[in-house]
Amino acid sequence: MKIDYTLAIHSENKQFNPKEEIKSHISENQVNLITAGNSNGKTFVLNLLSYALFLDANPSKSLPSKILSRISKFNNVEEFALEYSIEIKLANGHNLVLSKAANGERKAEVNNKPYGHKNLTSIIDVIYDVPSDPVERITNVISSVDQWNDALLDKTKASAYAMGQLVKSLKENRNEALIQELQEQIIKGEKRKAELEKEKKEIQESIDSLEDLRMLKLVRQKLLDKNAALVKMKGYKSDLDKCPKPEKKAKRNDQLIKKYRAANSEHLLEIQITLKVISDAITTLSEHTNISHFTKRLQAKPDYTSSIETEENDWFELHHSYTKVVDEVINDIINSCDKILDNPAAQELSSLKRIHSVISASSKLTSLKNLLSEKMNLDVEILLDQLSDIIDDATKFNEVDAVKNNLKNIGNNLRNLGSSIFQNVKLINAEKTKGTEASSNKYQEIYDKWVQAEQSFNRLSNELADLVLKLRKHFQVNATELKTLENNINSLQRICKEKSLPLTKDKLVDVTRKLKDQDTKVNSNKTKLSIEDAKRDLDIKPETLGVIKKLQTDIMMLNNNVLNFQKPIKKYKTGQTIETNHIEDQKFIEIVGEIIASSLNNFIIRSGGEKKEISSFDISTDKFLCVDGSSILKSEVSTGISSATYLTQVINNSNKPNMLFLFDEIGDISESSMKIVVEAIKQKITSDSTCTAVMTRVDHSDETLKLAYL
Amino acid sequence: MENKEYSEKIINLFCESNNISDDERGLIEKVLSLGSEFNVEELIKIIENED
Repeated sequence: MKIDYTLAIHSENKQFNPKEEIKSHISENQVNLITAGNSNGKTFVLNLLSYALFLDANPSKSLPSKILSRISKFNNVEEFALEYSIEIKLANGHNLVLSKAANGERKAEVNNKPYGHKNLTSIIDVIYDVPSDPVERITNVISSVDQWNDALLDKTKASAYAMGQLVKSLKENRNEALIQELQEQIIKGEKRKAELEKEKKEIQESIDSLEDLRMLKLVRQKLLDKNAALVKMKGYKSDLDKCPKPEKKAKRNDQLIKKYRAANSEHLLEIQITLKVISDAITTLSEHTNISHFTKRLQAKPDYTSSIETEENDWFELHHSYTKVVDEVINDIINSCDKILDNPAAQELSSLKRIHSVISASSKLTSLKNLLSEKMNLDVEILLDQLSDIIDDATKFNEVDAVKNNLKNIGNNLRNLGSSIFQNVKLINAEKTKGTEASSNKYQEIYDKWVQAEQSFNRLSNELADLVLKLRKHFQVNATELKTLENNINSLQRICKEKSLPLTKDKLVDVTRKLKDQDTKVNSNKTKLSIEDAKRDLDIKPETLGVIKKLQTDIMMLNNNVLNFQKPIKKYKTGQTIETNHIEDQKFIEIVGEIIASSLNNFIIRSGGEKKEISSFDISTDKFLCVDGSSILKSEVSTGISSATYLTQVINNSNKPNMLFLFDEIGDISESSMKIVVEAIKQKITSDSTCTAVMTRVDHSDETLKLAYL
Repeated sequence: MENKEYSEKIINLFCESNNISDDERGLIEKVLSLGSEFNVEELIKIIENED
C-alpha cells in the first residue's frame, strides 16, 4: 500500500505529511500496528483511509457516530485543505487508487478507470471501530471531569471575589459617617502628636542641659584636681631643693662577699691541716726525745680558726703572733731532730743495709758459712740478727728526718695563708661598705613623690585639655577658667533645677513611645480613610448598577454550583451514594453521563457481545442509559474480552473480496484478547481475498511514530 | 486543565436552570474570562457596550 498526503489545518496554520513508515510500509494482508505518543497522526491515517474510501458517504450501521463526524470533517474546506494519493492492491491483482487534489473532489480509480464510490462497497468492506474497556474509560473520564470542574472553579472563584470587591467599592457603599469619624480622629491624633512632639522637644532640651551640666562639672573637677596636683608637685619640689643630695654609692655585691668568705674558709682549713702537721711531728719525735715543752707552748694558742673571726680586727694579730710561736717551736724541733740524727748508725744506715745484704746472700753458701765458722769463729746467723737490729734502730731515724723536712715550710705556709685571708677580708670589707637596693634615704623618698606628683599633674593637664577642646565649640567659653566654669554651672543648675538625668531620660523614652503609638494610630486611620474615601464616586446609571449587581449574584451562584458539583464526583470516586435531591445535581449527573457516553463513542458491548448504542451513563445508579430507552448495569457490560469477541464477530461476518479493518486505540484490549482478533484477521487472508488491518495504540514510553506487523 | 466543552456545558446548565438571558450569559462569560483582572470602569464599559 502506498499512502501520500498533505493536510493543512488553516486555524493552526500547520501542514502535515506522512512519515516514511506510513508512506510505504503499511502492507496489504498484514495486521499493521501504528504506535506513537499522542498527537502524532496515528488516528489520522485511519481517518484518511476511511475518508478516501468514502466511508462517510456509505456509513455502515455499526459505524459509531463519533467516528462518522471525525471522517466528515475533512469536507470542511474552510478548516482543512487535504490532498492525498493512496494505492491499494486488490485481491484480483488490480490497483485501487484513491486521490484528491487540495481543492478537488475525492476520486477512486481501478486500473486507471474511475470507480464510483457507491460501487466501492461491492469490492471492499471497511470496518472502523474504537474498541475500549468501558469501565476503565468511565474511571478516566470521571477523573478528567474532576480536574475540569476544579479548573472551572478556579475561574468562578476568582471572578466571584473580584465582583465582590468591585461592588463593595461602588459609591453607594461609601460610609460617609465613618469617613467623618476617621477624619475627626486623624485631626485629634495629629493634635496629640504635636503636643507629644513639643513635650519630647522640651525633655530633650532638659537632657541636653543636664548633659552640659554634667560635662561642665566634669571639667571643673578636672581643673580642681589638676590645680591640687600642681600644688602638691610644687611642695615636693621645694622639699627636694632643701634636702641635700646623697653621694653616689656603688652597689654592694653580696655574691662576691660570699665567694671571698668561702675562700677564707678553705684557707682556715689549710691552716688547721698545717698545724696538724706540727702536732703529728711532736707525736713522732716524742718516741725519740722529750718534747713536752713544745706541746705546752703550742697549746697556748687561742682558737682563731673560725671563718667569722677572720673579719674581726684582732684576727691577724692573733695569727701573726701564733705564727711567731710556731716558727720558734719548729726551729727548736728541727734542732732536736738534728741532734737525734747526729748518730753513726743513722749516717751509715745505707752501708749497713748493703753489708746485711751481702752476708745474707753468703749465708746461703754452706761451705762459706762453715769456712767462716772454722777460720773466724764467726756465726753468720748471729751476725745477720745483730746487723738487722742495728738497721732497725737506724731506720727509726728516717721518721725523724721526714719530720724535719715536713716542718721546714710550715711558717711560710701559715704566713701565706694568713696573707690570703687578709686580702679576702679586705675585699669583703670594701664590698660591705657599698650601698644596697633596700637602702633609701629621705632625699630619694621626696624625689619619688615629686616625680609622681608631676606625672599626675601632667596627666590631669592633658585630660583637661582634651575635655576643653571637645567642649569649647559647644559652650563657646574658655572652660579652663574656673570662674567662667562656675558661672556656667550656676546658670545651668538654675535651668535644670532638681532634675535628674536618668529620670529625664526615662521620660524621653516614655514620650517617644507615646508618640510612636499615636503616629501608628493616625496612620492606621489615614489608611482606613483612604480606603473608604477611595470608594468611587462614579457617574453610574441605575440600570448599569442593576446589571452589575445581578451579574455579581449570577457569578456567585455559578461559583456555588461548580463548588457543589465537586461532591458527586468525589462521592463516585470514593464509592459513596450520590444524592440527587436537587434538580441541578440531576442535571449535572446527566452532563457527566453524556460526557462518559461520548467518550465510549456512544456504544457498549454487552457480555454476550451485543452492541448497544448509549446516550448516557448515570453515575448515581451506575447504569448505562441506552438510546432505545433501556438501561444496562455497568457490571453487565463487557470489558476487553467482549470487545475482542465483538470485533471477531465483525471480522467473521465480513465476506467481501477485500477487507480493511481499522481499529483505533486498541490499548484498552489485553494482549490475549488481541490475539483472538489478529487470528480472525489472518484466517480471512486467502488466495481469493485480501484482508488488511491497520490498528493504533498509544505508546507513552516512545513518542515517535513506528509501524509493526502483528 | 480547563476543558472548554465541559465549562460550556456547566454554564449552559446554570443558565438554563436560572433563566439567564443570552446577554447575561455573555457578561458572565466575559467576567469569567477576565478573572480578577478588571475594574469597575472596565465593567461599566463592557455592560454599556453590550447595551
